[in-house]
Amino acid sequence: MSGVSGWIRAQPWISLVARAGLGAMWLYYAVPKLSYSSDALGLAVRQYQILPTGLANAFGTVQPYLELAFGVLVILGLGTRLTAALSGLLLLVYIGGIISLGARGIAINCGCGGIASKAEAGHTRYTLDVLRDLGYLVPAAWLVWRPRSPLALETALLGDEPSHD
Amino acid sequence: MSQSNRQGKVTARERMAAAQAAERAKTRRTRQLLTTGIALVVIAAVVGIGAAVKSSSSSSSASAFAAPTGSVVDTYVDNRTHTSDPTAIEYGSPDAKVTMTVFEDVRCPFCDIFEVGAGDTYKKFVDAGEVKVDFHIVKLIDVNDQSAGENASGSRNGGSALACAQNAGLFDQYHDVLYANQPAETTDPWSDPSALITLARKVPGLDTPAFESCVKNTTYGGFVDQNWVDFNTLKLQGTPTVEINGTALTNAQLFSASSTAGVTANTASDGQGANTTAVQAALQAAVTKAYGNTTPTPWATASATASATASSSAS
Repeated sequence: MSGVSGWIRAQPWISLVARAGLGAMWLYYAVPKLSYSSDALGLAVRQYQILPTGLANAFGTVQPYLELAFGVLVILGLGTRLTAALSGLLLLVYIGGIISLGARGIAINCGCGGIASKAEAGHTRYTLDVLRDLGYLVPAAWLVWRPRSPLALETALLGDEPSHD
Repeated sequence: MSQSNRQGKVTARERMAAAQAAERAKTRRTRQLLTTGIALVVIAAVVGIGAAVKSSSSSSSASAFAAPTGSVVDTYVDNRTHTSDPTAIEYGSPDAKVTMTVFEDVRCPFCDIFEVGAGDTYKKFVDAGEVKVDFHIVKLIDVNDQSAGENASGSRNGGSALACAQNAGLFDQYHDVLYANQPAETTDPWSDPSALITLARKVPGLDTPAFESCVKNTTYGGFVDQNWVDFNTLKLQGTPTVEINGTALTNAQLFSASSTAGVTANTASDGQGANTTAVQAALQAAVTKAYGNTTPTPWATASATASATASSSAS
């Protein structure tokens, strides 16, 4: 019985840590990109050769702001479950994109035009990138399951919520 | 009598508890809808503002830039960019009927493989007066590095230095020197202009005070920037992009895993060499189509430059 109540006491703090981690991750990736030109942002997505050019440019331009919004919302604790779910979706998109590059043998770390390169260096980095993004999925998935945590704006704004989930 | 009263009280208590629970549940659902709604509005607002900011500061319209002597409008590029800007450095006879458009970056490894490996191949056609090469020097590697958080400027500096060499009439020689001494892609020594000046000393007559000042001031940085804008307008995938009379050569035509032409220690791990056979064939086909049975006048400048360099390195 004490195990269950111990768990109930610990869960909100685990969620708080998850919020901090996921939010910090998004801000860390989003903030540098805010100052890039739309040319650079569009090219980065075009190199994946997945989306048609117009969509790739649009997605590239919007991407830093999407990540920024997710980071801010998660850190503030506003719409945590929704933002965590959308974060997970975006991470899955990134993971899929990297796996697709590896499968087609496209090396874009040099940006020298999708030539099928047998360089192991490119593939090794893809593996690390996928593992890293999979790691970020963990706090996102946790927050979809257990979004309640202390120091959340949604609690303060709209009154105390019931003690049970 | 008391039995039914007790039952009545329990039912009322239960009803009140149930009503309170339903009220709490309703409040919770409303609250969840509100927070979700606010979050969605915030996301949409941030994304919307961001997209508006980015598109208004888009560099599709570049400011005036300095262009080196003799830079030309590449008609095969201008018919897509419609800027009428002279953004290309032309190598070859202006009367040549076949134009080879090359978008390249001085730091780009595959451009190095192409230039070192297939340079002799295409220069034969240039010397014969049949093909002119319109070089568009871009800063793709710099931009790539910047998107990884690094401050890079070697592509832009190197491109500007090439334009300085064009002013001095020594573009081809300096172009060869840069590609023969290309640094590893993960390094950026050319962000320091003095490195570019040191390399210029390998070209007799290039290292003058005017050239040094041109390189140190990155005088033709805007020229490289405009080519980068054009690269994006044309929605090119990468460098090198090589077109013959506007038709792009495929990667398979440019590079081959069974070739080692142009491969150096820095590029050995890429596993591809320049496909000189295919490049030769493509250029020959275009030349035959353009000239038929006629033979153009050889390009006088090339012969003069080649013999001048040969005699100075022999002395």
